[in-house]
Amino acid sequence: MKEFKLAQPQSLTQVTSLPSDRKYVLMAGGTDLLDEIKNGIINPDLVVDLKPIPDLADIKSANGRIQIGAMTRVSEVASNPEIKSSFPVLHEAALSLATPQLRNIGTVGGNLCQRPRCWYYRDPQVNCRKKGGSRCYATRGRNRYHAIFGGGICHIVYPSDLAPALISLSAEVVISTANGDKTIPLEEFYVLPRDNVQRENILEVNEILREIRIPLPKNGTKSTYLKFKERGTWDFALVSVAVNGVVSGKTFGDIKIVLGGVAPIPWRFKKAEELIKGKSVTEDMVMRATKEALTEARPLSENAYKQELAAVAISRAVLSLV
Amino acid sequence: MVKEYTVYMNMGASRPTRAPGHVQGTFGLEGFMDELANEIGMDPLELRNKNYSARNRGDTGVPYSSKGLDKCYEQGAEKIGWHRRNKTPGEGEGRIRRGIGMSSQIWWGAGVPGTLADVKIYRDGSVDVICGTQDIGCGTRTHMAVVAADTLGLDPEDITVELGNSDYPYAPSSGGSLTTPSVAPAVRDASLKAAAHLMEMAERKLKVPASDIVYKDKKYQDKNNPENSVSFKDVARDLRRETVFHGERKEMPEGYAYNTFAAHFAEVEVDTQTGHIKVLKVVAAHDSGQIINTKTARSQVIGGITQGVSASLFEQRIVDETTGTLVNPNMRDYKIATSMDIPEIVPLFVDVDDPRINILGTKGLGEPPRIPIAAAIGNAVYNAIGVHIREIPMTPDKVLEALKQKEVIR
Repeated sequence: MKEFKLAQPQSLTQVTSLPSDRKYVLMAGGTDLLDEIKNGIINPDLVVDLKPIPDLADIKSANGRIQIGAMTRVSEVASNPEIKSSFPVLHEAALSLATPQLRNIGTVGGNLCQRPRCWYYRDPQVNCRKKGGSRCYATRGRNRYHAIFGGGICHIVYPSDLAPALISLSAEVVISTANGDKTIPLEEFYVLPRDNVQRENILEVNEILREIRIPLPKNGTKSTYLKFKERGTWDFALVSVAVNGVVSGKTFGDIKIVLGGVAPIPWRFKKAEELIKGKSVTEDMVMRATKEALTEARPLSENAYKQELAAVAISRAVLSLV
Repeated sequence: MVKEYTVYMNMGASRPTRAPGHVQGTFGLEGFMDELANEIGMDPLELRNKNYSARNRGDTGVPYSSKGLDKCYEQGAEKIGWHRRNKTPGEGEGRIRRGIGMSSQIWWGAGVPGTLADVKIYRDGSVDVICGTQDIGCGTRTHMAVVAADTLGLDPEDITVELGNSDYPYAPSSGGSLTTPSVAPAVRDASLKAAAHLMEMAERKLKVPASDIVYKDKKYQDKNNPENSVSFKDVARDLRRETVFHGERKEMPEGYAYNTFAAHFAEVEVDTQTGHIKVLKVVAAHDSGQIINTKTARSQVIGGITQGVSASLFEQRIVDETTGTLVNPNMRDYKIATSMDIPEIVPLFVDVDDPRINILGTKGLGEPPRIPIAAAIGNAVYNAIGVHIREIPMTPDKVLEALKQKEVIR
């Protein structure tokens, strides 16, 4: 591990005004960042600890929405009664994540900005495309946990459980920059490898994700998060799905389906949404619709099973809401 | 005929863990037994009972010194509810299928003749038991204390156990389930000599022959005159100095095969849509002869099964074929079972008397709980879904693939 300096800024302005030529990383909970440093995946000169900055760890209800500070711990999201009643999908996603110990340390912002778990990316000996190299080793290598959508030049999957849930809820993120705040839909926060293979989101140097805003649900809104993993706990999703929609009887007036564990970004599955929206939902119909939608998938040599898991996950999640 | 091969692979070095070769071979052999049973339409347990042998039919033809595998079959089957299993593999309905399967196991574990142990009695009545073995999780400290205490009529907490030093009396290294059946009989032998010597001293002190002395509650007592009694400590005080008694684990008679046996029974639930296997319950019936300490023996079985469930469902070295490197060399990607994955485990110890194997009739229990479990889970999955997965770990992708192959065969 390379030695680094630790900064403990007292305000966001101090973070957004850091000299942009400094090789620094932002640390929220640090549960993954420190592993990356210790394993030699990243070698920052400066680690910026965000904990001392005030007012970044609140859950507030205001202006017809819930606002979650980026430094809010995942366990606080999981135990918040308003989140549990208004956004079951977020509550369930938070509970499905890692272990109680990690949820007590890990933050919402950190979860949304975490780096991929691809074992080639995480091998300090491997210089893959994401690290500036010339190839993706998963393409012809071992890829049972890799992407079936949106891969192409790099086949990581985005590991966050909170991101699919929040995107299904049409959440927005507030980003602090040197020129003030900007707000964008979380769905537009993530970038595919074909747009920029070395990063997973749009954050530029001197920008920081500060807050997540979720609009309160309309009447009749239902949501759920379903995660298939190999182990009973402490496991990333093989496939997960967040479903949020307005249900009347057996029909979704509006529906958002976002998959986790299948693509380099949380995968909004519009084709499946279109096929399900406005129709009376039955098991047969959902299975047919998702299987049809899944023809878009481009599995690798060892991960075709994820298509089946995705079909079952969507089907079970959708059916559980009608 | 089932053959086991060792193959050279262009991969990083590996190290053996808990019954290397047997775990793999048993998974193949016992899985094949169930495929055979299914092919001829016979209950897998009946197939095993029909071919039951009290002799080692392999290379020697000699009888086993003792073999309680039949009792393991009987008691294990009853405890798991063997009759509840699918009569035809995969005959159940619905997306969640249940199945019950079993597997047998044979292993060594007789112990090593020539193992030595000392019992040292001090003039204040304190007792050391000393052996050059170590405790790598065999419960050695416990069994040394228990055997010495039981033989000397003391409590285990009265005994000080000394081990882990090669200056101490010889013991073999721990491996192959041989620690308890090597060390415990040597401790027993030394303790018996100590007890006999103390009894002689009590005779002199009470002035009555040993046949009239009852030893109870750490006291030597004249059975015809209870007033005439002396405590263990007071007898020990008459020793001229601390006194050492040497014990040895003796030879076994020739002409017998000395082995441990077990049968594991597993009940599983398989989600046929996701390929997810949940192990619900494992009944583990073991013939390890005389059990020295039930608590540590149960722990040994629970540990072996935990390890086996983990290997059956999750653990694998994933190697990149181009670079030859292990891609999952960490605790996140090399998956080990969590507490959420471990089923209810019911250890059973069948009552088997083996007067030949050693003076305690005890056999080893290190590897045996690890050996049959993967095969039992594999056979339970076979019973649930009607297709036998011939490879571990049985991960969701393999289960889904196997189910697809089954559809093709139909």
